[in-house]
Amino acid sequence: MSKISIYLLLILFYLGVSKSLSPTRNHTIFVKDKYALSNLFPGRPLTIILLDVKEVGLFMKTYLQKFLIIEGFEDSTEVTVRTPKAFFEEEKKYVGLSILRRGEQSEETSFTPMPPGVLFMGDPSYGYWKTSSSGQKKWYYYRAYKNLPKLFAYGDYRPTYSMLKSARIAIKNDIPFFGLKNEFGPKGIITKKNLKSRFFKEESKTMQLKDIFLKKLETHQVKK
Amino acid sequence: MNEIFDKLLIRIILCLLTFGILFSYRYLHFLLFKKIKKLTMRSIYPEKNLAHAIFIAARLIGFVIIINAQIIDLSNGLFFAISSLIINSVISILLFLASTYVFESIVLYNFTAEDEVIRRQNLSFAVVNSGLSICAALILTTINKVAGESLINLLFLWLFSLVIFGGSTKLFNLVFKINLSRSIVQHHLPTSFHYIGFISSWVIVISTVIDHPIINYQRYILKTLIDLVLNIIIFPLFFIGINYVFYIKKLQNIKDKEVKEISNFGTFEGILLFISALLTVMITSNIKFGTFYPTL
Repeated sequence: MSKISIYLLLILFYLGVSKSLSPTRNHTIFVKDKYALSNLFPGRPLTIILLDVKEVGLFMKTYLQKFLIIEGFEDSTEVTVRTPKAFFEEEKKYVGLSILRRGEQSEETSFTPMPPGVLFMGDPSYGYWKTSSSGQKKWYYYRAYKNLPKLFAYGDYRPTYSMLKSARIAIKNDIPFFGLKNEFGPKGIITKKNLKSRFFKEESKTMQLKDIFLKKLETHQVKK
Repeated sequence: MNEIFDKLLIRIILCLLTFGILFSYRYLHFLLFKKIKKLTMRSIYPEKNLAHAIFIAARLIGFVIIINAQIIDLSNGLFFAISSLIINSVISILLFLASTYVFESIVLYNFTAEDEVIRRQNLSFAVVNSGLSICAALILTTINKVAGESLINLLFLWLFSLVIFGGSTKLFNLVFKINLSRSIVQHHLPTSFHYIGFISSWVIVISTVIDHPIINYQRYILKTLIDLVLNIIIFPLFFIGINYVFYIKKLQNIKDKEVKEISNFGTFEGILLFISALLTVMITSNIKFGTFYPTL
């Protein structure tokens, strides 16, 4: 056998063994599309919020998406999955939004991107409407569900009735909805401010070439 | 002042202790090298027999490499520190001598040190033998670092590295189509340097691949073997690449060439192997991917 054949055999052996032992491959689920995601979590009521997306690798890319799964009375869980490029490109515009919802009664699953929490809004089992001093009807969750606004990354924001109305129209027409003033999504103020995902953190600390030179010029002194 | 003087006295005590270990090391040779008892006890005359001087010097270098890696911690008192130093040194020396014995048995199985070094004054043999001793010491230093205080881990790592390095020493004839034994018989020094370059490059690679914490023996072995394969994949790229970059023209058919040409080739090839190994480990172990690939 020629040296080149042995060399190629070694490369194949290395790739094969490394792949079978790779923790990423063994523990990260591959999700083909939104329907596969829906089948993965059959429970109801269910809302899935896209927390983060990341393109990993230089030449051979891996597309990762991080979801927050909120299943009614269950504890919420974060799941990171591998996806194909097409699904990744489609979903990355909707970071911070609920990309999948399944009501307790409804037969169908809705995939229209919506601000998180739309599924529970207006449902008397989860909360109630209260008219504020400005005359706007605002949604309040019961004490038992007080952690939901935190999971939805609302911060100080409180959803209004007009927002829910617009959201329902958007669902009916299958048009992605980012809030009345586009507060949600990758460019939305509320999502940017409150969603603590790696996606947003990395954007803020991207290193530039000049930082490397500045670091070299720093004097290293022992802090007292 | 008292403290400084006290520290100096402790250093002198530990210095004497190191001499004691060195003295016992000389006699510990008998355990494994009964045949070369005369060799190690004989006085050294470098100007008369350089082979003997190199042979003994390599054993000394091996010893120093091992002892140098010991850390003396006086936090729990001098007695504890001395006991710890003696125990660790004795274990390390025994493993070092056993390693050297095994490697010599694999590579130089058809030679006896006494015949080659004293009677024939074979410099080629002495160089190969010295290389093996130093390589054994270097691997043992890494093993000691990885094993920490655990004797079980130390024995496991020692046996594991023994298998890898033992196997690699035999690859020389296979890869370069050069008969080492014949070259040693012919006192051919450049082939010895070629071989030294070959095994030292293996030592660099092995020391790098075994240098990771043991969490589980099975996973450790698998990771080490995968890393080793990765090094073997990267190594030829540098080895061939350097030849292209510096326009190095190699001998194509060694058998038909003059002795002088082969001599130059062997020495230079050994150096090239060593350089390639250093560059290889830079690529395989010094690249930190950090958060480039997120941990899931």
